Amino acid sequence: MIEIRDLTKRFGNVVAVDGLSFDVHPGRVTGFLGPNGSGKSTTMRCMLGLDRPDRGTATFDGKPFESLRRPLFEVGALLDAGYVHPGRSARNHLRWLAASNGIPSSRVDEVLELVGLTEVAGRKVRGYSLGMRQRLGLAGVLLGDPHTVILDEPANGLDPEGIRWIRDVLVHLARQGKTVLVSSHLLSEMALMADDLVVIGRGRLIEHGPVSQFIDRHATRWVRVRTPNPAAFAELLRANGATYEPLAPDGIEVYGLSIVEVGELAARHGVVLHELSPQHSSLEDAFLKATADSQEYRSGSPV
Amino acid sequence: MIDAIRSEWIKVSTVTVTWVLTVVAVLFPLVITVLTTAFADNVWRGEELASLVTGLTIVSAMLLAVVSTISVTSEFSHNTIRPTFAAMPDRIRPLVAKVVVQLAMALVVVTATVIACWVLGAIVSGDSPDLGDGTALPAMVGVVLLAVGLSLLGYGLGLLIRNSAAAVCMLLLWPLIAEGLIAGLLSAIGFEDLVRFLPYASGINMAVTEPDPESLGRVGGGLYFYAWVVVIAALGVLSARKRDA
Repeated sequence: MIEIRDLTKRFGNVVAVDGLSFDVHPGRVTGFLGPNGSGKSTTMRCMLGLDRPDRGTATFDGKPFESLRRPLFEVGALLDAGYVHPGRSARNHLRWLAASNGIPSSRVDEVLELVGLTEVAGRKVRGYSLGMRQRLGLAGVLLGDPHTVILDEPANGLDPEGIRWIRDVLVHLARQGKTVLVSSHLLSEMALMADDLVVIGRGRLIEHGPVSQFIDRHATRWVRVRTPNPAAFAELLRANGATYEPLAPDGIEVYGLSIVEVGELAARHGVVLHELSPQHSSLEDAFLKATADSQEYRSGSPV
Repeated sequence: MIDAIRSEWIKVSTVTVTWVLTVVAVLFPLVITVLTTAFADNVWRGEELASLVTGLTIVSAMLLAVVSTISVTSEFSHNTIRPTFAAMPDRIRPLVAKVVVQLAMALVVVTATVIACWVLGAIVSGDSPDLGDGTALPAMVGVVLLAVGLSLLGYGLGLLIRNSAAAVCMLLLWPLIAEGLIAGLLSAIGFEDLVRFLPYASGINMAVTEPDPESLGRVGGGLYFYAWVVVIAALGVLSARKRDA
């Protein structure tokens, strides 16, 4: 269990993290979401005592990270797969990390096997792809078999097979009862693996809770209709208080009426329907809506 | 602490630059010593051979100080300082372990190089120089102590400056150029007395057979140099403990 309380970090005049409080529970994958520059990485660095927070605390099972004598056995963290010396081999990178916490080098070979890097473990990291570096980073996380795992954008740079692999690993760890906190801006990925979401914008908490609750609260719902004569039915819908958008060639997206109301309206007027289906926006749309006010860098509309 | 030292040793011993600089630091004085004692026709008494050996091994000391500096700055440039501090969050264990490893390396490598140069020089010249001759032994012990001090200086500068190029420049340009310019300036404006208080010019008296009579002397100069270096290293450690990694 991770408890973040009133965490605040300033860089000069910029408030990167602003009074952030949330819990991360064991046995679940908690997705840490936010637009670029929203303070996710800073929060993680503060949790690990790397950045000194101006205010607030982060504790792991009640203990601050700084008090852990051998943290690799309790909290495994991967902040950035690039945090390796390019001239050192993967095995040697893991060897120094393991030695720092008294972990035997036999465990190094085990985790290399786990992440599938055994064959290239003697090669200098300089020649590694980003995906291989992510695997190496995850090997470092697993060294001490910790009960808490913190990963910053672990799917970054991975191919689809690698993304599925990391997703399976994290879900597996959570099912073993471990506490898993993983940040990402790949919302579609989050939808597939996260049980809970912590959404922040401009360093502040926007939303915290199960993924389903987040979608319920922020997602737009509408009804999709296909009919041979959409224009006529659209007129009928408008007369009954709905708004709509045409969907070529024969569809209508209906807002403001429930699926039952739309179906009954069609039946009463003898309108032939080829499709009548409920729709809701994706997690991505829900996320964009929830964080619309706190995007630090917003793109213009495509021309 | 043993775990931290083992970890830091694995780090320093698994990058190529450490071994390239160490091999040069050992071979350069050895080769020059052999060539010089083989071809110069003077008689090599103890103090003369020690003067040659210490003059050459100061270069070794500088190279090991560069290894020490880079062992710190490369942690910042490749951000490995973050996993390091995340693995040892008190920060003091990895910082102490790193300096222990670096000072031990300087001590062992420079001592071995000085001994090897002396032995080879004695054999090649065939003059059986005497260790007890004049200041031969104090100067050679002094160059080892200077090497350890310079490694400590490199460590401190690395922690304070964090950038490899800038820290190595500071380490090498300060003794080789900056102090000379400052000394010239001080003399020009009539403050020759202050020249003896330049740290490196003072510390170098440890490692020469004939310390500058105007200076603080072999022991005094050495202590004065170490006072500077210890303060710089301590400031570096304080800064690394306090600042964001």
